[in-house]
Amino acid sequence: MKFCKTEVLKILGVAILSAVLFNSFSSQGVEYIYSPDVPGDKKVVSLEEAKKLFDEKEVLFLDARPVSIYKRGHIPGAVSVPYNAPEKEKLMADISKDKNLVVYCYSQRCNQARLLQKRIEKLGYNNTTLFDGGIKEWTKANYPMEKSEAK
Amino acid sequence: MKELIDNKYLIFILRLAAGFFFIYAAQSKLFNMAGFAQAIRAYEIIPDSLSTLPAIIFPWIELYCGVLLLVGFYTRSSASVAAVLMILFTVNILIALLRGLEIDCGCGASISGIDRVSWSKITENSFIILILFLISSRKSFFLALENKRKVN
Repeated sequence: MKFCKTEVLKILGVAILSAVLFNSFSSQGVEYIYSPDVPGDKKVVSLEEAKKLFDEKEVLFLDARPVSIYKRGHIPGAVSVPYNAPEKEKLMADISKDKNLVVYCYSQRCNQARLLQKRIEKLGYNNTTLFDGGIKEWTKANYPMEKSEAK
Repeated sequence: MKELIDNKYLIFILRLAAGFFFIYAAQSKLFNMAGFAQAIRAYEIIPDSLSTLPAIIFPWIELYCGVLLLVGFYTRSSASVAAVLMILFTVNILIALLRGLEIDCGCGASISGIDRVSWSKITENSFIILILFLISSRKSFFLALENKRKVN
């Protein structure tokens, strides 16, 4: 690999300058130091609460991850509704709007469940709860898992 | 094989392909910096608070490398910078795979259409890194803007 140090520094310098300018003036701009939105506690459940809801069988779990990942293993009885699925109304046609739903994805950092929660709330599903520990915490606690075809 | 690698037309095509690839990857991240930052956080490698910095800067490095590769200016240096960036991305994907994370790779562009952390993604990236090494090892380039600068 051959390169000129001055040229590399010029490329990096111009790129950093453009990045700062673009980020400052673009509507797409993000904060330089990220601080996460703290979700309202009434719509987030911990692992223990999620397990309790699972045992009571009063809620329906929604898996926000891609179908291929869902098939490899998910919370028993969970329905696959990938966060980016174009026709969520069809996928959720059999689910009553009053049903208590718990959405999850892989872990606190995957964001897919949070996006799915927002998107299905727009469809009229207002009783949604986020299990933000997701499959990572669930499997760590050795809670039951199920492998199956997507529903 | 050596003749094939030394073929200036082949290097020209690879240079254009790499240029377009990086421009495409950059633009998809530039217009979704928050999404790219989210993808970076999912790797769980750097602290969350610092996740937006690479999301702000990396797309621009990709964009400039792509444009420079395309027009053939600072070609070897831009190929080297792009290669280092790709190595960095690939190491992150490898770490995520070894830790069993099932996440989006946040790659912005894909030859195979795979946008998840996977072994095929690592193979694809290695192929691109190889191309970039090949470009950066060349002394002169066919139809490159830097040829004019040398003449002047």
